[in-house]
Amino acid sequence: MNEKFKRRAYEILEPSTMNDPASKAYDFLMTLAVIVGLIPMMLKHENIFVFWIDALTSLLFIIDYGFRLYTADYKMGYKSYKAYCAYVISPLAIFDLLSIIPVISLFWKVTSVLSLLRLFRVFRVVKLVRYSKSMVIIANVLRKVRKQIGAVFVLVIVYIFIAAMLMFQLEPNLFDTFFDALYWATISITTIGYGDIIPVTFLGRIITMISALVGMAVIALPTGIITASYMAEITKKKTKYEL
Amino acid sequence: MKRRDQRHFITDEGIFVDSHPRRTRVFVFICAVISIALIVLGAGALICEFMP
Repeated sequence: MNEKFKRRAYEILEPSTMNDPASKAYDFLMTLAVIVGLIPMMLKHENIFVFWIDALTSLLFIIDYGFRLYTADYKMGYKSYKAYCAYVISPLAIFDLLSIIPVISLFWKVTSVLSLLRLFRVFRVVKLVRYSKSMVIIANVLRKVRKQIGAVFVLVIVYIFIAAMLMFQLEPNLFDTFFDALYWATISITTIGYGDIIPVTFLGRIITMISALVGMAVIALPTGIITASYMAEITKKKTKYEL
Repeated sequence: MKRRDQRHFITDEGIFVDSHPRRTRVFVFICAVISIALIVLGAGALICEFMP
């Protein structure tokens, strides 16, 4: 009886692939809860509706997390306490747990911590990945190219630090702190160029020109890597469907 | 008229058998009620913010 209930709960929790009305209703409810749960982040003033939105969505997410933990052995594919441990440390489960944190703000009204707790609401958007087939494809693509993206990211961070250190030494009057130099280097290499910090010395301008050219090459790299992997994933799915 | 079988759903993956159609209906009803409550709360919050 318990196993039947657990199996049924798992079928409802998972995104509906069959014509299961209970699973479809649950998917719709959770998607709506995520979207409505983000509305308080768009508002400047608190009101009674915001309180009840927070309360209801937090309750839904706590129940969702509880049932997902209960059916973790079905999710992970093996029956053992290790399945539950493995589920808890899986990425989606961590985001599910982080999305529950704003519930603390309902009971603990410490102003300084309140705004920080409410920022965790944004993690609820990650829950939508489960219910969208396109998002699942993108998540698979990013997982496959994470090493290449990681390498490019490290290259960019190293370059930002080097450029920031050089400019901090060459243009001491331009920056109040090293963080300002980091900010300038990031805005330059990404080719955004707000123009709020402008180099005035000859060497400073040379560094800026090199940063802009390096930025154009480096920022384009992840785009190419992700696009190539995405096309390969789409082709693989198309071939599987045709076979 | 033949009564529609509410237990069997024919899909591309095969036949999904619902062993408790009444419980499924109750669950779907509860999900619908909570969804309507969320929509009302969301609309209320937006109306209070933009049309005080």
